Amino acid sequence: MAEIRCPMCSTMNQEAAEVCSNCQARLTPLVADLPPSEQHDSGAEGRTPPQSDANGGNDDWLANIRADAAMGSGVEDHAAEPEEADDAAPDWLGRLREADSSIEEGPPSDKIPDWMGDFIAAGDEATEEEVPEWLSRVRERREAQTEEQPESDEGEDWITRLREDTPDEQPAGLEDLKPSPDDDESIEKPAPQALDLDPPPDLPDTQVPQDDLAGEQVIPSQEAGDIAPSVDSVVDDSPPAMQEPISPDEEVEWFPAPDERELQEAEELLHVPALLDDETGDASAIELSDLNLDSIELPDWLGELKSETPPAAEDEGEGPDLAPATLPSWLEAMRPVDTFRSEIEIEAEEVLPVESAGPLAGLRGVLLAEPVVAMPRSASTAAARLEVTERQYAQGELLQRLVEEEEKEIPPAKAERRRLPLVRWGIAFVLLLAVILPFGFSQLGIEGYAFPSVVSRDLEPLINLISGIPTERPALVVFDYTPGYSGELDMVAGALLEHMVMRSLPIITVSTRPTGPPLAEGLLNKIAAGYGAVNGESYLHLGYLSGGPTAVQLFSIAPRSVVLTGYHLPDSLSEGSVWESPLLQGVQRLSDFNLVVVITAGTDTARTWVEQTHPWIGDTPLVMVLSAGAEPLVRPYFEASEPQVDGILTGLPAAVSYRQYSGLPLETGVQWDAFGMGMLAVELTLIAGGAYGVGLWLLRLRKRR
Amino acid sequence: MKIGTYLLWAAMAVGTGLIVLLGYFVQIDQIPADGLIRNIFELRLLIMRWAVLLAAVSLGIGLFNMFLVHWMKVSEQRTGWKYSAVLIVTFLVTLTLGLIFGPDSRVVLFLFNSIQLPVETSLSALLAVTLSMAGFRLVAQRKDLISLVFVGTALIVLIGSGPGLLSTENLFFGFFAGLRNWLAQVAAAGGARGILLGVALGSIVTGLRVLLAVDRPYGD
Repeated sequence: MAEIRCPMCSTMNQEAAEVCSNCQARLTPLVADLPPSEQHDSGAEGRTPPQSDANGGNDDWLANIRADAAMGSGVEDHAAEPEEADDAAPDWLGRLREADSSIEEGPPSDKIPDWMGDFIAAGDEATEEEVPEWLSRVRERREAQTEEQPESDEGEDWITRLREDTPDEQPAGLEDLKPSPDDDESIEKPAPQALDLDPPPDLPDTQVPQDDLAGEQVIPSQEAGDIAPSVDSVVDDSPPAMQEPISPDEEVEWFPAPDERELQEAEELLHVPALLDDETGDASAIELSDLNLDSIELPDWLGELKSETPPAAEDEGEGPDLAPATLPSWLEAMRPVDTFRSEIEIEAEEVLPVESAGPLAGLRGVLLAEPVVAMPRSASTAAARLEVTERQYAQGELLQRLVEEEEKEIPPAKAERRRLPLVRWGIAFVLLLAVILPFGFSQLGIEGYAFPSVVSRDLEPLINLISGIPTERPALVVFDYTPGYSGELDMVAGALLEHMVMRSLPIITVSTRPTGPPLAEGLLNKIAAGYGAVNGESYLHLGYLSGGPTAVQLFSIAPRSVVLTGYHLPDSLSEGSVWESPLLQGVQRLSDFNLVVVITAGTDTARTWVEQTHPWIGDTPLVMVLSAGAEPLVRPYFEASEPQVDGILTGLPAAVSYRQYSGLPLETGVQWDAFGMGMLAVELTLIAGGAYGVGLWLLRLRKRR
Repeated sequence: MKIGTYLLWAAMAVGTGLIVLLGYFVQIDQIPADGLIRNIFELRLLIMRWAVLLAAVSLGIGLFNMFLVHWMKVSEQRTGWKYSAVLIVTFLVTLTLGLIFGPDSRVVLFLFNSIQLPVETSLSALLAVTLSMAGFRLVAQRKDLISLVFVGTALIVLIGSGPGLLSTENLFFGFFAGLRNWLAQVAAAGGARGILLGVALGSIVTGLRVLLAVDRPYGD
């Protein structure tokens, strides 16, 4: 069964299919059938048999055509070949194929694809349904060209140029199309010519193959000795603007003016464009209306001749009697507002081109995208009319005001008068005065503050501990505070260190801070001076212990492996190790010290020493000398059921009490008075601040009333 | 994820942590002179020495970084570059003198006792002025309950800590001293215990996460 190849997706479809089963593209171009009357008229002059003869008298009119075509034709031999087709095949098509096969040599047999070979083979024995109609049209066209060639060569070869200028555009895959019987319904029925072929019996009367019609437009020119009718017939479908009449003065000399009868006949003829590509010889299914006449270069006389026919009359006669289109009310309501109006007027349907490819192939007046997308348009007045609500209007006003204010130049703000920090200076002056004044109490005869009479309950165990420490082994004193706390901690730790020096307890110092060793050296040097203690004999500095908590633990386990050199060693030990000192004999670990005293102002440092030394400190007591601020965080270690800290000494009052109850000289009178005056100044400051606030609150309360 | 590298680092961290942790549960006096435990203990000491060494190196790197930062600041003459210039000069002078004469020489001690010690002590003294000023503003401008409690507590502790408004021989001084001790040893110590417990729990959890390789501060 014959199949049709889809021009869009090349899918093979049934012969009777109108649309592709795969892509739904139309397989048969949509061409409006001509009225039967025109077809009958086009067969005037005896070239086309009347419709009544289509069934029974085919042989006659075909014979006439064959006889006319045989004159001066090079295909007469082929036309005289006997019919070899079977009964099912149309004779005229088979003969046409045979006749044309002799004209067109075609490609070598070895280069013909299989499907084409089958097609050709089938053509020899083709039945009526399998005859490739397009091929017959092509051959007819070729035959007509060969017949016209001698005459065209004599005068201007404008026919050749006409064909050359004819667009070669063809639907893709058209050459692969196999005509189907259904095509006959949509394609004009061709009129057989030059060959003694019987028309297909199943063809409708109103349809004539296009190629045959093309033959018709050639035949009269051959008979009349000119080609004016045929060319004019081509112009028949051109836009009216191109149909300009030509004056007799402008006629070409070699080309006589056609008479009215010939012109009328030519106009009534059906015309088809050149369906044959001159170079490839491919057939085309382009309809008459597909021919782009704008690209055809016509003689002037042709344009004038065509313009004589009023296009309006043609439109009126050919246009369908249709009522003007009206939109239903609901569709009219849904139609978008005509905001923009295109400047491009939609042309008449007859002027519009016919789609030559794609699913819309064959349709005329397809909506064009260019006027909507690419062509310039102007906005109508309705577009500028906005519906603005009050809120939007207010927001717009606000935005405009903001923009206007943004452009205004803001005057430079006056620099605020810088207020002197009198309160801060006053407090600093009071504190400074409070600390300095006690130094003049003795000269002024002012009695200072009395020493504390109340002793903390924590102080007595500490004094007893220091008093009971044996002096055979040294005590380790850790100076872990910065110089900023030296004013407080030197006073507090001085009492404990002086007690130890007074008891001739050897002191070994170490510090986890770089500033610790010089602080230790300064404090011990000052204390030892009063008791004749000497560096290297009564005390010794191990120096800086780097490494943080890890170094503390390592020092607790193996102090000799951590500290190697020492700090500010005596001359006897300047070239050797600090561990060669007699003070450190027998000290291998932290527990070998008789006492460990940690002087610090930081809670983290105190916690590090408590926690890191606890597993290896053994029975060696640990004493904390702290700043007043660090006491709360260290006290839990001291007040635990199993205390890790054996004594705490914190704050200047405790140090003064320690001196009082340990029998140390009270040389801290000035410091004690300065401490008391400073405390007084701070207390008064807070009281003054409270009074100031209460006063302001009362004033505001009175103003409110 | 680099499985091999991750396992290697995790194994090293966990192994090192376990070895160091075991040292807290072993009495040093009970460690035999020879044997596996002794070897582990010696390995633990070795690891800790490495840590101390790395800490010292990090201190040197920190000093070098500080020098570079201020050097760049001076080179680009950014804001405060003059102070950076002073820092660089004093740093180089101190370092040079320390390297030449030693950290315990009289020159370095002179610089310490004459410059660093007074400067840091003065800065600490300014803290007293600042705190006094803050207390004044607090009671003068903010008159809410929390402010009054804060300032009242500070005033009670100041009065009870030493001579001031009340002499130590005053009859009311004992009252304020007892009140101060109660605040410092009960209320403040209670809060401090809570803080310490929290810190201890956090340290334990952090240590366990590192030992279990859940946290990998050394990277994956």
